[in-house]
Amino acid sequence: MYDFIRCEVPDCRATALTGYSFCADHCHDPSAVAASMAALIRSSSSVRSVNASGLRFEGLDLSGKSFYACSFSGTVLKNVAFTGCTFRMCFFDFCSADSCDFSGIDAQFCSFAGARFLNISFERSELVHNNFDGVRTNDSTFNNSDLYNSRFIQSEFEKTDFVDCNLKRAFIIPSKEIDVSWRLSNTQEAILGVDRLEE
Amino acid sequence: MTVFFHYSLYGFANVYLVGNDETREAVVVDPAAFTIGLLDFIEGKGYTPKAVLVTHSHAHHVDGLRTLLRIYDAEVYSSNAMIGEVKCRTVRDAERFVACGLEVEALSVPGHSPDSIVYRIEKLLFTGDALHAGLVGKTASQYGSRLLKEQLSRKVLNQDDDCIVLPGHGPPSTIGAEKLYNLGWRAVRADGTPRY
Repeated sequence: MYDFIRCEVPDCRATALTGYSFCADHCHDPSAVAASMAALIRSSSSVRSVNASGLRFEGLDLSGKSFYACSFSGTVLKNVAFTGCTFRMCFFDFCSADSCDFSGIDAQFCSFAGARFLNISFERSELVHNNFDGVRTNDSTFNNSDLYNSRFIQSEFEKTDFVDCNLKRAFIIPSKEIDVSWRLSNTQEAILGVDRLEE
Repeated sequence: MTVFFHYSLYGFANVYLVGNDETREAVVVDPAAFTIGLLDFIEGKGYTPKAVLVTHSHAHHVDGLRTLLRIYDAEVYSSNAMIGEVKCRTVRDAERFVACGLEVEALSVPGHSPDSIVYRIEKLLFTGDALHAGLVGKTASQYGSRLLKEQLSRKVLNQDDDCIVLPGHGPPSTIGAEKLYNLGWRAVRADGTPRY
């Protein structure tokens, strides 16, 4: 896990970015920090315990990398390619992703809660045991993905496709659905209401 | 500190291994059925389990305890004095203790079960079945439901928004996400606090 060192600014309770003494809100030059963090991530095929919360990344190709216990919470991601990446216990909650490619990823035990996805592809991905609660998706696709045991509680989908997905044990309790396709997906094996809980 | 996650097929429960990278000792949180898979998982990480934290004593979370203790010499922390034949070091609400060199705080949150404990290690919250991503734990009565939500509100939801929720079942979450999207707080008062 990344180190939970508090930001040095008095009364700030956020965790400092990896390699820095401040959180993204209190960095003097967040774009320089993001550039340095991007260089650090690009330099290695396996990225462990990095906290990049709240930074902005644009136009990056991080395809094929493996991420373990990293935090991208509250980040702004634009035109970032995560194609074929592996994620374990990573946090993308409350991130805002626009035109990013998550296709062919293998993500397990990750949280995307509260994220905003615009024009995002998760096609052909292993998305097992992930938290998508409260996500808002527009013009996005999860087609041909395995969503076993993932959760979509209070999510809002618009122009989003879930064609031919495995939904076994997935919690699909959205609060808004506009122009959504579940074609060829096993919706009958998904948990569509809290009355089916066993735990 | 390194955290590893293992998915147990018995009850679809989560088992966690929290390793102290300096001492190479580890805490096991909720040892579900002890299988070859779990043993390989623990051995493969190269840590020696010296402590076990039990969030509550339902079978899906403690069934592997006896076997684990035959292999490893570990102290068991629980709000019960005994779990089956296993003697435990009893923890109380708000108690802080050190296990494997890691500072742990125990937070009592009865409701799902009378013995439910949330363990906090830095910004990690091991919530057992009291709090899952998007849901609060199942309870047997309206009184239990009200009690659980009240305890969670007072002791868990008041943690920082970036605290990580590592539940006994299902995917991880954060306190910030649970405050906004957990179905347990759907009925909210005008001032933003949960209505029980």
